[in-house]
Amino acid sequence: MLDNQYETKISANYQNFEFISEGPNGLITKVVHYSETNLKGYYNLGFGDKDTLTGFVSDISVSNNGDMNKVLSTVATTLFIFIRKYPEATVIATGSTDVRTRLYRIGISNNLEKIEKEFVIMGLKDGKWEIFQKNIDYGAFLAYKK
Amino acid sequence: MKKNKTSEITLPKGFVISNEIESNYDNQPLFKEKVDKVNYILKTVGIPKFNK
Repeated sequence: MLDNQYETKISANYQNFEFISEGPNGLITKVVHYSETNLKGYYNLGFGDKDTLTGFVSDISVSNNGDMNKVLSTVATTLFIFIRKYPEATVIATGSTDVRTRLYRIGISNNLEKIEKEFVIMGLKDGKWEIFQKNIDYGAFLAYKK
Repeated sequence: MKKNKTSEITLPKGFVISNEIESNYDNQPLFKEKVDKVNYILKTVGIPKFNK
């Protein structure tokens, strides 16, 4: 498992995760949601900020709360937990913007050694899946348990 | 797909099951655009060759 994560609440089905980011811009509720795609066993990893007034979750908001590494580490840990619960699952993540896709790449790269102990990580480049390598721009990421 | 292969998993420190999370998002399809995007990728690119 990874280090330095936020305390996180998990739904009973292990598909929803919530934690609170703390930083100069205040307390921001973050949501990670795993939803099954049209292909059975393949899940989208969704990640965004929750508006505490409306309850609406947005994956395009930028919180700039100065805790990117801790947030990404927490999101990565949800992947460990989700796949331990659903060991046959394959998880795919795409960024809602190029910046967010790059953030995912940084998050994976920063924790790659620990992640690769349990998962195969692949990236989508030029219309093909390949084994994830640092410093390469990918359009999507895929993970499954070794 | 096999679910709950291990009915109990050990959670890392600070991670807890919370019943209050379960119904929080019943009224909104979370990250629908992302799911659509992944569905499109799976349809057009396909899945990688696995050693699963």
